Amino acid sequence: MLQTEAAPPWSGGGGAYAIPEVLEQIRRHRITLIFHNTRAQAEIFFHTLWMANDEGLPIGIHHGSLDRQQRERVEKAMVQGRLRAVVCTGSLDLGIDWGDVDLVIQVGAPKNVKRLVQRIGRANHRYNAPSKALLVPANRFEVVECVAALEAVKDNDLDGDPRGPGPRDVLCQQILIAACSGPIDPDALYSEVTSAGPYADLTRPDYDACLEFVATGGYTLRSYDQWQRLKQRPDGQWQLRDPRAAQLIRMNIGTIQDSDTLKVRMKRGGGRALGEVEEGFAASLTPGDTFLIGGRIVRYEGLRELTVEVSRDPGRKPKVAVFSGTKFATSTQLSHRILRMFQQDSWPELPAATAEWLALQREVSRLPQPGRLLVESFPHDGRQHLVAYGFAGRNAMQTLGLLLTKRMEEMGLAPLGFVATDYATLIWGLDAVSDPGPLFDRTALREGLEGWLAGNAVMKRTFRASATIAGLINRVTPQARKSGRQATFSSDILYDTLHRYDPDHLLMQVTREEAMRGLVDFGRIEEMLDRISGIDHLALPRVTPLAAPLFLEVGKVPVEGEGRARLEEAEAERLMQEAGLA
Amino acid sequence: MDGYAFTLAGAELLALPSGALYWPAQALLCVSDLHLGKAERVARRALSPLPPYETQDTLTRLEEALALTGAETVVCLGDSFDDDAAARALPPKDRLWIATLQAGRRWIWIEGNHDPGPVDLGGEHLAELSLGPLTLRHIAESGAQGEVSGHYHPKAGLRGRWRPAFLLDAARLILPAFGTYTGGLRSDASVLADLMGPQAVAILTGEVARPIPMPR
Repeated sequence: MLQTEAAPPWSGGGGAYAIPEVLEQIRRHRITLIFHNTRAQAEIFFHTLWMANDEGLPIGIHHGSLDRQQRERVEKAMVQGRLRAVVCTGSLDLGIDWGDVDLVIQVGAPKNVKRLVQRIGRANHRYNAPSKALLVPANRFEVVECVAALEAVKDNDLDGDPRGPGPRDVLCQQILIAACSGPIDPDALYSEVTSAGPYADLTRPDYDACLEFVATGGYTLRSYDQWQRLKQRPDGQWQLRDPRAAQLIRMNIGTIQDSDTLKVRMKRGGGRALGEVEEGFAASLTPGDTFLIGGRIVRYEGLRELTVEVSRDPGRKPKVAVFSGTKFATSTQLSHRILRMFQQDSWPELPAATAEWLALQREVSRLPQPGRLLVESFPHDGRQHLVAYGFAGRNAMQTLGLLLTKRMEEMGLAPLGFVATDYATLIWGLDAVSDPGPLFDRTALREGLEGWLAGNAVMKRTFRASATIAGLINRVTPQARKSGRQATFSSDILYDTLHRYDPDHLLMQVTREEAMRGLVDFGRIEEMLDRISGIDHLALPRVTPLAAPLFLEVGKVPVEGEGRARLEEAEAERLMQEAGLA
Repeated sequence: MDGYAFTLAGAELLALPSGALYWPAQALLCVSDLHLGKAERVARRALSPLPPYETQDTLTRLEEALALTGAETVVCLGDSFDDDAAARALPPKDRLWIATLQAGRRWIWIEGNHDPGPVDLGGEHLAELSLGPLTLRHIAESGAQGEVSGHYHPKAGLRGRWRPAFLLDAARLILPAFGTYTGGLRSDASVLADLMGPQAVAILTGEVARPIPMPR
């Protein structure tokens, strides 16, 4: 772990406090790679690092949201040895010979032990030199997580989950792509698919259902069979009905899902491409807002045909671009280690600031224990807040947030939204919760899961990914580019339609499976319930030390219901009054 | 009946939460951009096999709006079909359904850019309709007065959420798209911001029809 003079902040993910020490390490090494878990964090860190770089050390930035040309320039400079450091994300893992890299700095917690070992291992590709890496926890909670992870490495206690069966949306894409390169023999393709490990147990009916989906859409209602995608020839082989479709299908190959992004360009100076931001972030901008991209601050000018137009704007405080990267959940094993660490009387292995933070939490509230569920409630900023320290990993904690807010809605507690981290779920609403016990009833949670699975945002997000992979939604279409946003409609509409008229459709099954396995992760909620013997509820006057970081988390999920309707009504009235229209 | 009541060129109108417009004095229901047969058209062009339920869903909601209002006249404000071929390809069940909805009512198809030709379904086919102080047409014309149109599928946002909305100023009203498979154009897009006067209101659809100053 990198020793720093300044203590890590209470919250945040940037690791900016460690800039002086990171610069010192760059000076002492030939080439340093500084890994971040998300693109946004890489951006902020690079910006701050550059401001502090008085000696003008050549430092570059590299992540998947940057324009390809810009990335290639950095890669080239690195290979030629013209850079001393590169701030990057996982995007730099691939395809680069980095023999001269002699130090890796990982900013942010590694989330699981295996990943940490792999990252360090990638640090130095020369067989005869040991890998050298430093960890920089981004905040005080991550200090605990990093120490726990390092101890696990020392104990050679590697975690990891068994791999599930091959997903059927990927199989659909495989069939579609195979059909693009020529007629397919269904039996031969089945043999080929089942020769791959993940699909070894794939049954013929399941395979046939995927083929049916690819060919016709696989809907109960067969209303436009003459336009099906694949046609069966007299010899039993399947081929594309319209060979021209091959181009579109090939344009959409791939299973890595990125959120919808918009290109960012300079408004003047030839409209140079800078990179991409998420559509949701672009939607939150109003002209004059500033944000960071490619390490520089730019000013939002407007949206033009799916491109974010910006101008140069040095010196102002940026509104930070939010790119939500892949969110790995902290592993069960690592979570348990952290809970066990919390039970120590003191923490000599932790930096003083972090040890004090834990001590303060113990003083004003309590530290979570492995066998109990700590729930805190307190008012803050005009809203009532509830925090459950479940330590079940980000995905399960998110599911818990969805289930709890649903229960709260039913109980008339007007929840407004929640946010989840690996260790806790924070819920805010208009009314206070006096007794959280009934909220965590296992049967009720399970029933809630059944009912709720149908109509929530996580399912819709999973559906979008599966429908894109399976070839129902084209992420790239020449037509959509031409006619603009008006022509496209959201995949949520498709989900709602299928849910209503064809709930057993293949893609609905796949969505359910994928969600249970990935984002829902109900298994870890059950693991949490098994682990705890009861709930400790503390009603407190203000935000607690352990809860504070949650307020700065990105990925807040709004809850649609009574509470939001009440706020919307008030907001609409206020706007009408202000505009003199009411 | 829940809805947002307002006056346009002297006509008293009601914007319904479903996205339909009701004119009580004329017992007239107006819906825009149904885009019936969208899934069929997308499949025909070999783009993707979308779930073929949007016509069913759109007609179900239209039927609900008719039951709610008891309208005697229905005006479909253009782009009722995703294209003329999609209109011809409607399955017999849906044709019969439309005929049932039309029974005992005056039914007017206004032509849109997606469906310029007449359809072989019942009802009149018009380029536009003038009725009392109002003109109903598919695409708004600059300088028009008392105009009701569609075409743009406007959306407006409140607290970061964008949803289909009516846009209203002293001269005109633009309807949201009523069809199930329709996206939207944000009211701050320059074409809408230029078209609508500075005092324009957006009436959000959803659970309730809620007016807000038009985001621009």
